[in-house]
Amino acid sequence: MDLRKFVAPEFVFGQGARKLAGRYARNFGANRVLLVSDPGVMAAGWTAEVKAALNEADIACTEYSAVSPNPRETEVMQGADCYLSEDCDAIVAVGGGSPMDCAKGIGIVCSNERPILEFEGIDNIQQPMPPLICIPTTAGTAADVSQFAVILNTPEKLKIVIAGKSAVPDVALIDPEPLTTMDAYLTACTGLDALVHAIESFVSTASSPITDLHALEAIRLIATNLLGTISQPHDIGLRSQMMLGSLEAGLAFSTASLGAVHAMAHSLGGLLDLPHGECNAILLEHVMAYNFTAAPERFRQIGGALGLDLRGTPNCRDALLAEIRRIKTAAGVTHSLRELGVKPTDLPALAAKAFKDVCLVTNPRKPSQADLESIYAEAL
Amino acid sequence: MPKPSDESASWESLRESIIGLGETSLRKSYYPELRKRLAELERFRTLVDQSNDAIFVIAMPAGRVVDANLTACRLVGYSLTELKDFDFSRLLSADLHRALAQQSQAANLGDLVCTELITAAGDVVPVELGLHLVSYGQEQYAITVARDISERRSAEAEMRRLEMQLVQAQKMESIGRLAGGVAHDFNNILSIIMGYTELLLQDCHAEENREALNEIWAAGGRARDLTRQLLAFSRKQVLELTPMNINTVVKGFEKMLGRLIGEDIEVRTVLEPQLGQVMADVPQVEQIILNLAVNARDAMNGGGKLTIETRNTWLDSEYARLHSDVEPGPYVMLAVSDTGSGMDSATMAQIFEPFFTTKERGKGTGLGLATVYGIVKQHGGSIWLYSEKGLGTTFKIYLPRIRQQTQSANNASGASELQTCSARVLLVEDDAKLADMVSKMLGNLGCAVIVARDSFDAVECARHDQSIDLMLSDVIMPGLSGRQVYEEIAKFRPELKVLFMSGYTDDIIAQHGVLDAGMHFLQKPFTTHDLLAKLRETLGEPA
Repeated sequence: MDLRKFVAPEFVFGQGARKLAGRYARNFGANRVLLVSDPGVMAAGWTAEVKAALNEADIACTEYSAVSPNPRETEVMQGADCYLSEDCDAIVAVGGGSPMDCAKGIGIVCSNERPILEFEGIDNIQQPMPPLICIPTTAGTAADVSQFAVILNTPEKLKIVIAGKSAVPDVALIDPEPLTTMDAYLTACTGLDALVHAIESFVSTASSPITDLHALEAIRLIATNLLGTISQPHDIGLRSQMMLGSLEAGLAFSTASLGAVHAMAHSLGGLLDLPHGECNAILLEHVMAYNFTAAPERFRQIGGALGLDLRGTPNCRDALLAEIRRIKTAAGVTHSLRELGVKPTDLPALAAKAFKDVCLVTNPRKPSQADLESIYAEAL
Repeated sequence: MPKPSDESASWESLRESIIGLGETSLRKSYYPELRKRLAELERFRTLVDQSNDAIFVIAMPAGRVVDANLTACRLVGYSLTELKDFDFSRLLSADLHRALAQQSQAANLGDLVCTELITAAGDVVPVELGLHLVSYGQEQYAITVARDISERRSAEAEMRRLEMQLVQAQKMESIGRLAGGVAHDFNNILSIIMGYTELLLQDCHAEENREALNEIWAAGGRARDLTRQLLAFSRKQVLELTPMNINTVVKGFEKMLGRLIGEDIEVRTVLEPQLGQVMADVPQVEQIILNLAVNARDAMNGGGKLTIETRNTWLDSEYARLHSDVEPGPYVMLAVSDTGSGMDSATMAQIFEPFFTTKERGKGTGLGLATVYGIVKQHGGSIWLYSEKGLGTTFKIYLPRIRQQTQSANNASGASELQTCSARVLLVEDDAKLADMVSKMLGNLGCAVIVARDSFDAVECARHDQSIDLMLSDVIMPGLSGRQVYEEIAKFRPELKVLFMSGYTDDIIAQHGVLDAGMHFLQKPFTTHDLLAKLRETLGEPA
């Protein structure tokens, strides 16, 4: 068996976990934290709640919520400036992938004192960042446990991936309650994002037995609970299962990394600023169709985790893709790329950018740039 | 680490990086950085603690001490923990605290103030205090640096005390001299008054007159008591001459001289180990050394070297003939030289006059050298001064040497024996009177003398007179120095013998680099005997 590492932060899972923010921040020696969130999370009231918990522990807060759905390098630099000028000594991120990735970027810039875009790639972070506490409010991103941060390079319209053990948060407070304020479509997109994480990490060339366990369990949890939680958004039991699925998918992909779906979704997000979860959902079946031959046995296991009985099925690939399409349709994610505004003329540029994305290197099948363009065309 | 955008970065190496077993992919910790910073902090703390100055960090405006270095703790005698509870004003007296508060309001914070700190033991330490305001975060602090100036203060006090003593001694000296002189004459007059009163009393029987004479006799007695007191006060009326070794006095004075003169002047003593004894009054000889040393110190403003030398010497009849008040015979020489500003001939002519001074008004009494002169004369000695502007001054004192048992009786007669030298001598000496005297000395010895008008003339004389055997030259002269004259002549007369003479001691001359080792040197003043011996040595004749 090859050498494999498994990286995960300390995390607390369960209802009320978010309320431990004050205690954790105090243990990290914080006097003033930079509280990073976004307007949607603030409107839902979760930011204020965490702030109250911090204040109760005698910790002052500086709020920073100027974060776009695809967080930009300018927002990271502005946040770092805010952190330094306000003399903060820890960061708390409340929200989905955007605030958490932005918070990671801010931390990296503050301790390494260089522009965020210089950290693109793997293991380019020299100094550990200040203490970072993540409180996810979506069941999808899993940035709260991952070693990845994705930042939009606006001048080059490119989403860059910053990966490294130094980008893993110090603690994740994973609480299902904040999920209850997500609308049906956001629940669907984030849930499908988590499903993509699980599937891509399971077929990744960097996968390992430990990540496999989490990936398959994540697929099972999401397949079982996604549609239910969309129809019963306030069912905390279902939300908890989805949160657990997202966490396990995160534990899997943080170490095993991802594949072509993410490489291509990053390209779409960078060039056209499209929402990440939705792009992943649209691309998933097309990439799976392309990858299938490279890891048929693994895809067969994915089918099993999705609840399919593929025994005696002559064409597993088609059965698997049909099930993915069924789940997406039932969840209400039916747009094509064209409907999101992608034009056929965009495809060469999209493929060129995706071809350079670091997520591509663990894809089970090594595509050419032309292959990627064809996949985009199928998803158009 | 290759970026994904590097086309050359291999797919496989990126995958390896993601799996994360590379050296750079290990989870990092603040701990090594923390240890480094703590070590730096420790070094910085040591630096601050080992400062000679006491440093207090005071929170403003509260005035509470928040930190202090080790020197500060030692200075005020409190531990750092104790100090940290303190209001800094507790270390100051109330009025000083008020003054400091006003000063800080006046924004003269960078200035140094001399003040005092009160220690744990209640002692008062004089300090020089500097205050600087700094801001750290929201807080403002005064960095207060205090330098202990106790030693400087006591050195200043010691200096003042010594100066006062000196002034006092000089004042007493002149008052004593006056009082002694008056008392001496007055005693003679009193002797006559009282003697005749006594004679009259023996012959007079008239009761009325006897009563008047008794009153006169009694008044005379009271006057005599008064003059006795005056004489006792003056002390110096009668010299207490005892056989003494001047070296003993110089050695006893060395330590005090160092303090009196200051650190920037080096005191050197060159004492003849077998120095003869003189009959002298010890306190007076001390006074001589003290006054000359103070004079030398004042001549060396920017520091220098003070040299005290002793030597046995013999002043012969030739020297005595040229110096009216000198008896020929054995002497002990005491020389005090400085490397100070020197003096011109006008100053030299007046230097021993009472109340003559070149110092600023109020700085000198003008009696120091006059006193030295008086004491030397009183001891039957002589004083000789040699100075060159910019080079320094040498005072030479000759006190008669008393005969010691070991001394040979033939010494004196040896010098008076008729001895001759038939060399042709070129004499180079810028002082005309001295040139005249040396010329006569050489003539008496049988030498043919060519006297050069100046250093340039000397070179010309040597060029035109090939029969000159030897050049006898002063060292320091206007125009060419003795050394330069010799070097010029040596270009065409390399074999010419040369004998240098100077009023500086050969030690001082050697320090100026004027003479090389092996060159012949004659110390001024010299006797005919000394001159002859050196001439023979230079010419390579047997003595």
